[in-house]
Amino acid sequence: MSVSALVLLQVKSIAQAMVDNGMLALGYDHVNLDDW
Amino acid sequence: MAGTRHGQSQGNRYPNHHLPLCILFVSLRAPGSWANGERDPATGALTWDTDRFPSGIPALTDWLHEKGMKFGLYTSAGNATCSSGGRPYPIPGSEGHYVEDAQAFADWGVDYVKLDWCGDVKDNFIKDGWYQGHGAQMHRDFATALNATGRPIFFEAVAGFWFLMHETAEYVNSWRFCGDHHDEWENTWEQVGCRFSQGEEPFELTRGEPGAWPFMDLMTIGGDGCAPFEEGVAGMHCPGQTDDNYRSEFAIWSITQSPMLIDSDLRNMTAIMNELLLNAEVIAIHQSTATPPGTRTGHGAADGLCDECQVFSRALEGGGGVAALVNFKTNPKVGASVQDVTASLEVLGLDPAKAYVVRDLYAHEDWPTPATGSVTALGVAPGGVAYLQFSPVA
Repeated sequence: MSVSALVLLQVKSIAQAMVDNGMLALGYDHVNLDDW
Repeated sequence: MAGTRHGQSQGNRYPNHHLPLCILFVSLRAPGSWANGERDPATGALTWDTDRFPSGIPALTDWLHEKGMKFGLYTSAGNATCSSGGRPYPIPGSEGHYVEDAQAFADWGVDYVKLDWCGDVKDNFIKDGWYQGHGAQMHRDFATALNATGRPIFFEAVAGFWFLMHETAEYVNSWRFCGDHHDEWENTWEQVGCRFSQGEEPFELTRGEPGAWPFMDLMTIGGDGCAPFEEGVAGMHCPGQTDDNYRSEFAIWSITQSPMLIDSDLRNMTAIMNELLLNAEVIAIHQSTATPPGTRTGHGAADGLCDECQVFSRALEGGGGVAALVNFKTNPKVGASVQDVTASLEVLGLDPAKAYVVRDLYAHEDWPTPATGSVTALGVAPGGVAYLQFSPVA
């Protein structure tokens, strides 16, 4: 899989981790993209 | 910030009192930059990179909103962003397109915009002193464009303070005092120094208020990563600071209510990440807007503290407070050392005539005896902290 195609997968897997590890429930509710 | 007080909002700033707790998606050593390299030639519209986001940014925001999450993205006040995200061509900034870009972000369902200052705005800031006029107006114009969309969008202006100075809190929701935060203790120390060494005049800008939050840049709790992303493989952290340093970082960011944006891979939660990022007691204090944000209230021998020690404190409802007693003595020139950190209740912003139950916010336990007159945290590690909550004895 190309690096480009992995970006969206990566964003969603991070967001899902925030749900699964309890961070969203604690209030961590943003997913932000930077310019890197 | 003349005329402002805790809890008030400003006319030109969206009165967004939300204090962000975020994951900032820059940490995984894989490109996250979202924008296309060229605007639409027909309309001039900024578009997303269709290779990286084939279903589009609006589809991603919908997906996140359905999970109860918010979405932030990045642009520049100038004609280019600071990084191309690994691509061999520049990415356009928003200069000349503030109204169109702000409306696009609103239409896509964006909740947070970081406005950086790369491209010509940075070049001319240095060369021609744009901060005197044009650069400041750029920041005012972008804020106005965001507000005109009618969508509540949190507005982080990286260079807002440098351009707008005393007007900063009238236009933006968060701003920085320093360069980028890197995963090094010396750099963490520098972030703190930048914010709290601005002098008395901009004191309220260093302290903040609901909707206007001074920002010390990303937290790097656990390490900000060192290996490319691979599908199905949790990221490596390669921490650049000690666990004690991370405890200090988390304490100072939270007690002073800096937005807490995390630059670590949350799919691989290490012990220190679990200990700190999931500390519900600290998160509750960070998120409370019932009292003003904390600030630095003690600095070295002048305040009766040990060499290289600093104290940050914040009043809480009910007559109590919270304090971070930090041992900064890690400079090789002066020698790293464990120190007992003693501070008077007065330096902690507490009533010296009262006794207080002391709770260790990291150990999650109360000290066996109340504090009267002063408090001493024993054996604070180099670059470490005692993070304590004080409740008046009934």
